[in-house]
Formats: sequence, structure tokens, C-alpha cells
Amino acid sequence: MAKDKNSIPKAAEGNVILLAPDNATSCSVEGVEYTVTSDGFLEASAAHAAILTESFGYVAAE
Amino acid sequence: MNLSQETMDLLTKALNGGESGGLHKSITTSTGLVNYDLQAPAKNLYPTITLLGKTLPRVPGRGGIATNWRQVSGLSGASKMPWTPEGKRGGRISYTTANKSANYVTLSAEDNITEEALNAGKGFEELMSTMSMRLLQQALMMEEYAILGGNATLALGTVGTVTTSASGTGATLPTLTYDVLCVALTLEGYLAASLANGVVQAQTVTSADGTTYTVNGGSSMKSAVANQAITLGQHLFASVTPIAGAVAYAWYLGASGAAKLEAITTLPSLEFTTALAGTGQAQSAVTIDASLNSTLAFDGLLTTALKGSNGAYVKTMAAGVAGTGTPLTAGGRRNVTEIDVMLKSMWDNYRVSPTVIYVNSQELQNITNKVMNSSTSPIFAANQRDPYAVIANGVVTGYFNPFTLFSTPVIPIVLHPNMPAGTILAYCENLPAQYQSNEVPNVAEMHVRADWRQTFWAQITRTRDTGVYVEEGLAVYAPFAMGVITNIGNG
Repeated sequence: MAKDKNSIPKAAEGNVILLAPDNATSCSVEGVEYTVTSDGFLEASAAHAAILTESFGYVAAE
Repeated sequence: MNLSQETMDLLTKALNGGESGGLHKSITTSTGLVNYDLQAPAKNLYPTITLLGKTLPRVPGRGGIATNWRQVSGLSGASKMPWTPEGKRGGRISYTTANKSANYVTLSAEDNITEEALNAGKGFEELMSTMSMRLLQQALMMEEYAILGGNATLALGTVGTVTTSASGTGATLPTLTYDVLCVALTLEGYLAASLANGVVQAQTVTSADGTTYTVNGGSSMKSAVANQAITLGQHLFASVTPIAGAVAYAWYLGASGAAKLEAITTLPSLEFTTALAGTGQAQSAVTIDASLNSTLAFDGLLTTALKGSNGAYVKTMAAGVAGTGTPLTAGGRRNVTEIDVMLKSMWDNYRVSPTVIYVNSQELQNITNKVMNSSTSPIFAANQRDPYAVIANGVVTGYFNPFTLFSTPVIPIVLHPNMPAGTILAYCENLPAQYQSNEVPNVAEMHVRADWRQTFWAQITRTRDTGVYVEEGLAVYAPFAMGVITNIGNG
């Protein structure tokens, strides 16, 4: 899961970049579907990021 | 007398069994000439546990359709400070009052027996008596469900959007984009549901008198469909926002439009790793919110406590990892942090202390594991009779409550067969001494308009019909004297 800090993409305003758990490909939060990039990152709104980090093994990348 | 050779031959043939084989030269147990050692009467090998029914005070009603009372729940002065200037009078106090009531409802169980069965049972059981006994036992067990989980007012509504995720390796769930839906269950709904038979929605009951009526089965309206793509090996995770009043959640998974019941959890989340059974109830069977019975039922103790508006302490454990949840926390001094917080809150806010904590076997085991493990100081129970015979294992039977006044500080922890895993109920059976002149020392009472009685119905066929009935209402005067911790992870 360790990533080079320089490889972390920049999040849009109000969003959070998350590092996905092993072998994660996608998720759906409150009807919003997210796809994990090939680098293992996922960009989600702050509210959705909170859900993903608490219950689904995602961790903040920044 | 001379026997002819032909006669001798026939006799010899007959003694050897003959053509039909009906005659034998000797008798064995296989011949069938044996007694049938039937022990009478039948062994009744089922538990009848009615902890709440036996301990709740039963108070005679006085007719009417409900028992009503008025409560004074607080006194307040014009000021917190009573200082009064010389020659003047102080401000008047004020009261917080409310009108309360508990409806009378009817609980019943029915049975019948044919004339033939009655006569055929002679010498084995006095079937009219044993039928009545078993009928009443079943009725009392159903009353026990009702006292804990009856639901007349707490609607579950519709489950919110399901959050899903796919990750991990090693699972055997085939590659597919899955529909995922969730249905929340009350205690009644959880006890009625099974993977084999599905969750119970509105069910039509054909009564013994031939009429029909509808009883809701304690299940919510299903969530909207969430879609989750899975590649073979990935685990499917799902969660929903917990619903007040729900103690379990039913999960429907499947291909698009074909999801079926695959799991029932006592957490609002799921981790699914195996191929679908594909044999459960179709999600299309869930069409309404069937969580309560507004005119038929009363609110049980757990339901009353889970209502957020009546002052009972309710702790919903954090979501935690989907499918795992958040277990209780060991406090490090043979205590459980969440139970301490509950006891402190009940004291701080209402000056009450529970007198019993009802738990499921899962929670009893987990509480014991928090209190007795390798990281806590060892507990050594010396065997007085044989010091070399060490007794293994142990269990927590009570919880020391530091937040109490006058009364005994040890709260018994009691296994209740109807408590769901993941939920514990702390209950103060009697208002403590500091509730002076309260006019009702009991936190809850069963008001009984007509107590359990048996009716033998007029015989108009060759079947004898009977039923047992009670008309009662559960009056919970002090819901703030209860506390619930729910959505507890198993660990």
C-alpha cells in the first residue's frame, strides 16, 4: 500500500484522495459509483471518503 | 391310529414353515410376540423460558381500552438559587407533566383435538390436559417475545442506500455485477426470519374461527438496489446506515433483477465471500414497511428503549469494518468501557442504576473475554475440596456499578433467549429509593384487563377446540430507566 508521495494525484476542491485496499477495483457510496485507478487511488467527496475509510479499508493518501 | 405317509409328509412340510412360511418350530423376538414398552406420557423436550413474564408485576386493569396515567417528570424552581431577600417571597416552582397510556391488546394461542385422537390417547396421556399445558406454555413463550420485542409504534421505514465495495483476495464469489439490497428487521422480524423461509412481511393469519387478519412480520421496506462489480477472488462488502429499532439486517444479492436473500446479520453491514446459494427469498417479495403492528401490539421493553425520544440510553456502536463492526472495548480493569459509559449516563441524567443486564450468549462470551483474558490480572479460583483439581473456564455473572446510591452495586448479567446477538439491554426493574413518593415503584408493569384464561369452545364438530387468551398492556412508566447498546460487533 505504500506509495511514492509524488505519485499521489491532486484532489479537486472538497474531495479526498484515498488509497484503496488490496485488489480493490470499485465501490458505490450513496448511489455514487467510484472506480479505483490502476495505481490504487480513488478520489471521493469528503463525506464518502469518511465512510470508505471507516468501513471499507480505504486510507487517506495525503 | 395309523397315519398315512401322505399325512406325515404334510405335517413335516408344515413344521418346516409350509408354503406360506407362517408356522415356525420356535419363537424368537422377530416372531413379533413381544410387548411394546411405550413410556407414558410423552417427554416434553423443549425449553419454556419466561424471565420477563415471570418478573414483571401483573396489575389488574379496570376495564377500558387502555390504562392511563399522568406523570410528573420534573420540578424546577424559578431559579437554581433559592436565595431570598429579607421580607420577600421566592419564585414559584414549575412542573414537567405529560399524559401517558398503554393500550390493552389481546394475545392468544389456539389448538384442537379430534375425538379419535382423544380416545386413541387413553392410557398414554390425558390429552385434554396436556394439550392445555403445552398451549399455555407456548402462549407464555410468545408473550415473552412480545414483552421484549413487541412493536406498535417504532416504524423502520425504508433502508437507506447501500454502500458497497469490492476488494481483497481468496473469495469464491463469481465474477459478476451484483445487485445488493438490504431489509432491516425488528426483534420480532429477526426471530421470524430465516435464510430458508425469508423475512416475513404482512402475513395473513387464518384464525381458528375461520376469519382472517393481517399481522406484520417486523421487516422494513427494502433499500434501493446498489450495484457492485466483483472479479473472482474479491470480497463483497456492503453497509447501510443503522436504523433505530432494527436489531438485524437481511441482505439480498444476485444478478441484475434477480437478487435473493443470502445473509442475515446483526450488524448493518456485510462481508460476503462465497458463491451465492441462490435459493433464498426473492427481493421482489419485500414490498412494504411491515415493521410494526399499530393496533394489535404493544411496545416491548427493547422497542420502548430503542425509541430515541423517551429518554432511554441508546448507544449505537460505530460502523467499523463492514461485516465486522465495532466490538465492545475492554477497559483494562476488568470492565467494559461502553457499559461504564451507559451506567454513568443513566446516573448522571436520571439518577437510576440498572438492576439487570440482559444479553445474548454472544455478548456474554465477549464480555467474559474482555474481563478474563491474558492481559488482565489472573483470576485463580481455589478449589477448597481438592486443591489440585483446577476448574477451567469462567464467566462474568455480574457487573459492578460504581454509579449507584443505596442499592446493591452488582448488576446480574442474565442470558435471555430472545435477546439478539449484538444488542444488550440494561433494565432497572424498580425505581430507586431516591424516587420518593413516586406512587409506582416499578419501572414497568403489565396491566391486565383479563388475565390468561382458557376457553373451551362449543363443540359443533367431532373436534374439540380450545384457546388461551390474555388482554393486557405493557405500561412503561420510566423508559429512562433502561439502556441499550446495539450494533455490537462480535469480538
